[in-house]
Amino acid sequence: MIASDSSLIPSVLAWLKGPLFAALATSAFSILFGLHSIDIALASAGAAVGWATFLAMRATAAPAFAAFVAALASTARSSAGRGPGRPLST
Amino acid sequence: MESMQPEDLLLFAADAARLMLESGGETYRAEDAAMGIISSQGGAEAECFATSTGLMLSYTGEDGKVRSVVRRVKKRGMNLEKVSRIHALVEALQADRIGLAAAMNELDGIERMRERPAAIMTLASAFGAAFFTLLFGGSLADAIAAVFLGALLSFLIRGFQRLKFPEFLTSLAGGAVIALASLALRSLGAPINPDTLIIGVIMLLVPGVAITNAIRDIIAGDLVAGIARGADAIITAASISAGAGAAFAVWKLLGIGGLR
Repeated sequence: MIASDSSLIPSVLAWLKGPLFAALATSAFSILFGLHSIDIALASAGAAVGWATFLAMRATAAPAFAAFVAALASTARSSAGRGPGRPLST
Repeated sequence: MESMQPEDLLLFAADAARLMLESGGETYRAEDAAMGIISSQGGAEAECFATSTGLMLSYTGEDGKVRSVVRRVKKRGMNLEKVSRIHALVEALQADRIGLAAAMNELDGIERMRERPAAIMTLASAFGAAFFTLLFGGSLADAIAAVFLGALLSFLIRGFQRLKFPEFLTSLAGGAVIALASLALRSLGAPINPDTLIIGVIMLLVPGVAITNAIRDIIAGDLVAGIARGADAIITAASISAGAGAAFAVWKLLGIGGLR
């Protein structure tokens, strides 16, 4: 039991690299797409949620279905935590 | 509510929708923006038809006269901040939180919003390419190479845009240059996997937003706009793969090495 627990931590850490890289790649793309401030962080969080969902679903489902569920998860995250909205300059 | 000539209102609404399309917004969102501006001023019987290359807007004023305007969309960029600000502007107009004159000034300000400096865009491209390379299973060496190739691709894209090259040629040349550079690095002995590196770097060219918007437009019922945008995305994707494929073929023909 102890052996399996100790082997679980590295594999979980390895698995978490995917969502982390997805979030970092998305933050770079957010800059390219003109996003600002908190929106960059929110977009990155959406990417991490989406990629984690994709990885979790891919183990048991077809890639197309996994991508569909991942898109649903990203959109749900995006709808749940919108940014503060755009202030008008005038 | 401020009074305004119907023609001015029509032009303002059309310009808001045009700017939204130029900034990468979906066509249904651009149509909603134009209609929202007109309805916020008590306009009746306004109709808007937008595609990714232009829009038509007609409006019947209180005097019963029908006025219409056509706007071509010649620039196509990606600035989601502008899309978000126009959306917020229309919402503010509808909620009567801003007057029409102020809204016109605001739209003018949004149109004149400058892009980030080239150095920041280059850095974002470089690190975006590197993190995508890692995401697709690349090694640290692949990621380091992707930083340089991402920056190179960013320079190339900006140079082609300055020369007003068609997007097709930009994608074709971009795919070819990245494939050639990856193969060259490999043949020089760099410990990289060219396949992963190419996939990671050409993510900068892949028309992901265009494909997503095309599907969203089709789902929203804008079939013509969705299919047009989808065709645009497919042509871009095909040109990237044609460029990379041609580079591989030339490399193989020359027999330099680096191919596995």
